[in-house]
Amino acid sequence: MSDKLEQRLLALGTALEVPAAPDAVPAVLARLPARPRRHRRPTGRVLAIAIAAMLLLVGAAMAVPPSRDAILRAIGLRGVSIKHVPKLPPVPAGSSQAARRGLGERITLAKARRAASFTAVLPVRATAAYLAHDVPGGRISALVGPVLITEFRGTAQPFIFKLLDPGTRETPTRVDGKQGIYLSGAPHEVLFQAKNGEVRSDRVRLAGNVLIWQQGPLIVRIEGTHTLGQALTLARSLH
Amino acid sequence: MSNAVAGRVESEEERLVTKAKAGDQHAYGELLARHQAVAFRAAYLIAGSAAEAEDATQEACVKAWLALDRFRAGAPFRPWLVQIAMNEARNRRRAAGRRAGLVLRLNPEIAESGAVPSAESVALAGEERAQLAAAVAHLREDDQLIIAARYFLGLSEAETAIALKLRRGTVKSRLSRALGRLQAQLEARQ
Repeated sequence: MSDKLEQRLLALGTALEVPAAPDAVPAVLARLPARPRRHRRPTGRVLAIAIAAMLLLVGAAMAVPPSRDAILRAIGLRGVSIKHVPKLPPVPAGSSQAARRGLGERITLAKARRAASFTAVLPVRATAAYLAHDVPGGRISALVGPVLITEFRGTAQPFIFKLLDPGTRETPTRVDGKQGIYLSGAPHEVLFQAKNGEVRSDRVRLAGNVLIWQQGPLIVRIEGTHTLGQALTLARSLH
Repeated sequence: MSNAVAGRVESEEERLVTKAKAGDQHAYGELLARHQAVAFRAAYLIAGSAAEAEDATQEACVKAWLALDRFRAGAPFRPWLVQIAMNEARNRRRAAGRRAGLVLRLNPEIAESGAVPSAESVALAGEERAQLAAAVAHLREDDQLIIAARYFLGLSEAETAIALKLRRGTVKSRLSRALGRLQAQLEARQ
């Protein structure tokens, strides 16, 4: 019985519908940190130092105004960095709420999960969803009333930069065991890295309280909750 | 594959592993290029979607890199990567609230025409394939996994042991029992 059954199983294996495997190597290599080695300082510290050094090297090429000369600080979340400044620049008047937020093209909630190059995690009661292509792999945003959830693939190169003035508090936290940070108090400025590598100062955008963390390959941020507890509750409900 | 050729392949792979363990990302990329397809196939059979399988494979490749210090020199890399990819896919399936078990969809062109240029596929007509896939899908998950490892992923017994974290002797006995239960399923369906 066994030989014949084994032949039939081998034949079944050749008849299964399995999509062609996409080439994961470039994306994986872009995400690899320096590999941790035993008897060394902790990984996070090594990674932070490596990213900070890289940022200092490429800093000259970035379109960050020279007055913002505080050192950009990696916070251990791939694609995110923080910079402290004495004072934020003024915010010009914007147009619509979505335009001010730079969310991209409106898409249906049904499409949101698969619209980018990754599988997005979404809130149960999303009211609107948007897709932008300003970062490799795309960026998905979802609104739950006034609360904004944004997701993109974490990359070795920071994509989001935060400018914090002295009134913004940083609270390290964890979301389901994953490293995260909660920025609260005074609003902070958000900088995005454009596809051409330039870091744009998005003057029209000041962010309120933000929880940001790494979930698998994704960086997820929740903006607009009143407390860290509310943000964590929403974070855990994403699926 | 002759022993001499197999030896050269193994030694080339060992060389890549050694370089990757020393932090050489290019060597690691070469290793992944050799084995990412089977890792993706394993993840797809578990996760059931190309997007989830792609994410799981990528995550597995990054986790494997971070865990290379624990990888034993001389061990085969392929089943180790498959093991991590399977775990990632299972975690994603669990997080999404989907039920356990493999997703076995038949390629409609092959299922209908039977026109597949391989000796194995000739042995199995389209309708029979569907019945066999349904019977496998009704087995408990550990039976499905060991059958998938051996026949759908093409892993050897030794590789299956690594991929499923079993002793090699256990693979043989567990596979035998899984095939027995599959045979019983098929007979019950006739």
